[in-house]
Amino acid sequence: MGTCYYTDCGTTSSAGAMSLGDETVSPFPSDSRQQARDPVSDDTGSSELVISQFRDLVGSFFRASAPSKRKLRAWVVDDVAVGRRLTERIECILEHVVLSPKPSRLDDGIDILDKPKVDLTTYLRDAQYRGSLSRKHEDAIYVLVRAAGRRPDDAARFVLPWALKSERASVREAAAEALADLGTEAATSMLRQMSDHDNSPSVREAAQEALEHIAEA
Amino acid sequence: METTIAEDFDPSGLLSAGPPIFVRKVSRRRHWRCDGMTPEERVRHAAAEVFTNDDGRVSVFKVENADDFHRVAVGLNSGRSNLSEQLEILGITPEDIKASGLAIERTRGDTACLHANERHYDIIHEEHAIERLVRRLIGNGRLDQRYKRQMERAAQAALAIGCRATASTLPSCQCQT
Repeated sequence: MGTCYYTDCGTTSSAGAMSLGDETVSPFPSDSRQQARDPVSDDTGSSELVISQFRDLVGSFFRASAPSKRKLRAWVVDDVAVGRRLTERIECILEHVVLSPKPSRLDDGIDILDKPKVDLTTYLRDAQYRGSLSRKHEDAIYVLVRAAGRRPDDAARFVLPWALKSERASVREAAAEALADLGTEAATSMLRQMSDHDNSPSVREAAQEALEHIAEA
Repeated sequence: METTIAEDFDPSGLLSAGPPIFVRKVSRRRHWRCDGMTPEERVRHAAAEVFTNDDGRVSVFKVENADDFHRVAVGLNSGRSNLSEQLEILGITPEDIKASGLAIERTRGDTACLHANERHYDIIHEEHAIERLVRRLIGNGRLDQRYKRQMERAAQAALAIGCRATASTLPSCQCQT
């Protein structure tokens, strides 16, 4: 990943709402504001209520303006890190990736799931064990594969081999982009294979572009 | 060879028509190029995935020159973890919009860049007209463009002018003076 040009600088007000530059936001209805902003943990309150609050938070994040998004993303990441129902929480994020009308929806999903605090490895290992990856929407798969490729841990190990062998060209394209993010020698070698031998022109093009990206980096 | 911001973000590099042009962020290249479909399937797919109906509106930005364009690009990335992330852009001319029978109105954008927000427009979403637009763009061979290494330079330039996309606590930026 390149240099980070982003400086997060929200400050917490006493009510738990966030002051972000010139706007104040809360992802919660005003009557529940006092519940913010410790991460929403399953240790407190009913489990269904906690998940429902998490859904509200994720919905707010996907709809938010850019300045508000910075802080909301940190909240979502904290909640996924602390909460017990990891699979349900990640599925909720993927639902928004697929259904949100915003053109930033895939990037928003990647920017949450690539954070080391989010245990994507466990999610992907379980998904692979249950064989549920192949049933997912192609945009959800794209986000999972790209996020895995950007992480410093071994999450990619649980999705990339599967993605590279997928019959769907859209999944192999995502794998090519993830290999570019990994940028290792092994990744370069796999990309050369794809660039020369994949039967889909769009995958060969994605692999070629990924190789150029690695060469420029 | 090293290029400049003016070259990287020359709007005429996006399509052969001269400025002004409207730019629309594309979530993923496959949403626009969508191989392996019949022409009509592609029109419906691209219309649904690229020109998504967001409360009856489709957000676009009007760019007249490289300065507008690189600041809009930074604005589009201002909700991301890193401003220099890869960006996929589709260019649309005012004639494309008019010929498709779509209405467009100026509204304030919601990026962190004030300059970009001033150049924001909403196309009023009408399903059949959107499909006419997509059919026209595909018929003209219009392709999305990927901005990757250029975004690194655009982010540096934003930092140099104190753009609020780089830090919301900055007291003011060039756009406010």
